Amino acid sequence: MKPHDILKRIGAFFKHIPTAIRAFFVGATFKKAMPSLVAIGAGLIFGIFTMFVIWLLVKVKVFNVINDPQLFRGIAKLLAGGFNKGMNSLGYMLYRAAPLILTGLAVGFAFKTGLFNIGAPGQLVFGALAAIIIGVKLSIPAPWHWMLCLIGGMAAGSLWGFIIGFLKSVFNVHEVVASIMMNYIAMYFAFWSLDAFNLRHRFVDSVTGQISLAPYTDTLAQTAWLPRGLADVFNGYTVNIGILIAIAAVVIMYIVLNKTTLGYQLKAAGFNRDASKYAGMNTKRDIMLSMAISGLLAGLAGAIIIMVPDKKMFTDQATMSSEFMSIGFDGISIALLGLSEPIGVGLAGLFLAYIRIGGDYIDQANYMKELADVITSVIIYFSALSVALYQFLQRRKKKKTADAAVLSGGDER
Amino acid sequence: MITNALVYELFTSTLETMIPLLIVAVGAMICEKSGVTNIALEGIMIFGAFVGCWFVKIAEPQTLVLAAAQSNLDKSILFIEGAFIGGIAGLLFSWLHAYASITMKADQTISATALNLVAPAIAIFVARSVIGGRHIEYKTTFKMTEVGSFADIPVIGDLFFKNVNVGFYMGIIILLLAYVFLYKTKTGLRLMACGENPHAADSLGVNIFKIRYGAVLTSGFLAGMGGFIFAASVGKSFEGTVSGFGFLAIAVLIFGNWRPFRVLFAAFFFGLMKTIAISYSSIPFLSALDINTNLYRMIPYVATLIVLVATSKSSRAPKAAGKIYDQGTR
Repeated sequence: MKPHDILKRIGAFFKHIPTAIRAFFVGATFKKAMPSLVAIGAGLIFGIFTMFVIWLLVKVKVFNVINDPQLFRGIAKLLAGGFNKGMNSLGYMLYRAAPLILTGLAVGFAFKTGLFNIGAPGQLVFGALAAIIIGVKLSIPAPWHWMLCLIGGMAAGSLWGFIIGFLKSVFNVHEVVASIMMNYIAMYFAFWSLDAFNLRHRFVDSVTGQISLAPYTDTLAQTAWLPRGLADVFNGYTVNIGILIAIAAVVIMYIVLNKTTLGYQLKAAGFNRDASKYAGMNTKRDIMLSMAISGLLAGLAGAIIIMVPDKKMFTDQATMSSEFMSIGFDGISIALLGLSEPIGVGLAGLFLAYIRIGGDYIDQANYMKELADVITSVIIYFSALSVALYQFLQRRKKKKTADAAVLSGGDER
Repeated sequence: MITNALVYELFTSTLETMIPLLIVAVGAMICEKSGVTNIALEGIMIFGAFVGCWFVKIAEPQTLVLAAAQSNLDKSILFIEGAFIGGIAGLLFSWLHAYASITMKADQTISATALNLVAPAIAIFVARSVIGGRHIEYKTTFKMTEVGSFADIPVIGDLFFKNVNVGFYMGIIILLLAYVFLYKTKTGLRLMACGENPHAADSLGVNIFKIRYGAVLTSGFLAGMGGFIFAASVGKSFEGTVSGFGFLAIAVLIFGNWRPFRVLFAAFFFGLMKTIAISYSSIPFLSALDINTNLYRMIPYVATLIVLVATSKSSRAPKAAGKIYDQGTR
């Protein structure tokens, strides 16, 4: 190929970019994403308004606080989100986003196939448990060890999801109830396993010389940590490959859902289970399969959370729910915000991590970090409304064009 | 040895767990029977408990001595007021769900998830902003050691009139009222028709919109009340969580097959299992087994799953529950 041709090709490639961007903004993707974007805007405005109200209430001394909130600094910190400390906090954002994206994919995939997987918290705990057992108890050389941890996490989460699917398809047990029960069982099972597998950290009392058990586990062997690096790029923050795994999962789920027979079949069951049964699809198998795949993703998220240096699993309920189970519940929000589409879920996961980090930083301006959760929930509420509003407008538009068509038809005659 | 005292103790403890579940599940039943699913109960419970406990903190006697010296009647009045205010808070909060899912015809799961997420965040956010900590602490002990002369009746007195708070009687009354409302009044029967076949009900002149609004707000009221009763029977402090009881109430509803007295049975069964799981060490033959605590803790959930496996084949969910009602569709 002549250099001239190569240049021509490159030129042609760049010529397409504006078209692609324009196509995105007027195209179906953008139209679909519109409600979520409107909701995000509305949620942020609501959050800023809340900050203003609090600032005002403190100013007029309706209630007293120790440190006065700083309005503009707070808003700046909130909106800066993952950019608060430049590349450093951006790295942290990617780290936080990985499990969020994976649980979002788990719940979103189940939604697509007509199932409500509220059991992601339990599947996540199970994945983390498998990873910690493999990571602490086995000693294998590096690449194999962490790979085995990931596989173990996926298998365990998948098993936990499969049980829910099995109970639904064979015994007609409502998946929501089964999921809720399985979440609790997973948590207590994890606590039990930490004892049964001797995973709890032992320390020797320096005075009495007695060995006692700590309320947390040992950390994973170094060979079981996810590969980390890029400290130079992220200004001192060492990211691990969690985010790459999450992106790979987004791509794979996109392909599975949109380009394979299996995905088509599972989605068909999501639209109308009776119709797909009539069409000869094995709907019972499909339910079990979807739940197993969904659980696999959640289990992977659990494994990723635990496979970092110095991470422990604690043996009390409060820590277990704030560190592991709450991420499973976040998956529901992310799936809803991302409209259950893999790419949308990826972006929604990044956004949630971004706004949460912004929430962590508004502490410095004397606001409470729970504001981030308030904003997220307002966003989700508005996204429900704006989807409905959008559909309403679409219907009206259609009706108007239909009316117009009837009228113009009348003129011709 | 299993003594009478132990049986009574386990029984009252069972009632304590059962009542919030029962009240919230009854609310969920009314809501689902009208055709709207409400998985926002957890959030509504948190919100109701938050407002109710805050009210108690303000309204109760402000010193420890005076708070301890309240008579049964004072305590009960304070309790009922707290539950009522929690209920009103829950009602207003559930309005958001009703507006999104009925007026705006939005996806019922989405708005409910938003409510579940916002409630604990608001509770902790406001508490930390105003009180300075996440705990709302109050001083009154709501449990009554003996309820007047009823406590002297043999057996029944021990079972129902000792070591209870007034929430127990409220729960039973609410269940009976819900039963009479649903099955013996015109509105109740219409409500159930809305959940089974809204188009048919609409064609007979039933106002689906109003009925569903009423049902969601009622469930919000009951969930807010249940949230307060949960918080008041657990301890003297509320910190933005109801331990998943809102989700468990949905489980109880499905386990109870959407029927009032089976819901009562389901709530009792779950409460009993939970009591056994917590106080196994005082039950002789269970503590003799010497199993890890965490395996006992699993009992309620495993037992519920087993019962569900055995009974779910004949599930009778309202047919239109969770479906958006649009007059234009057929």
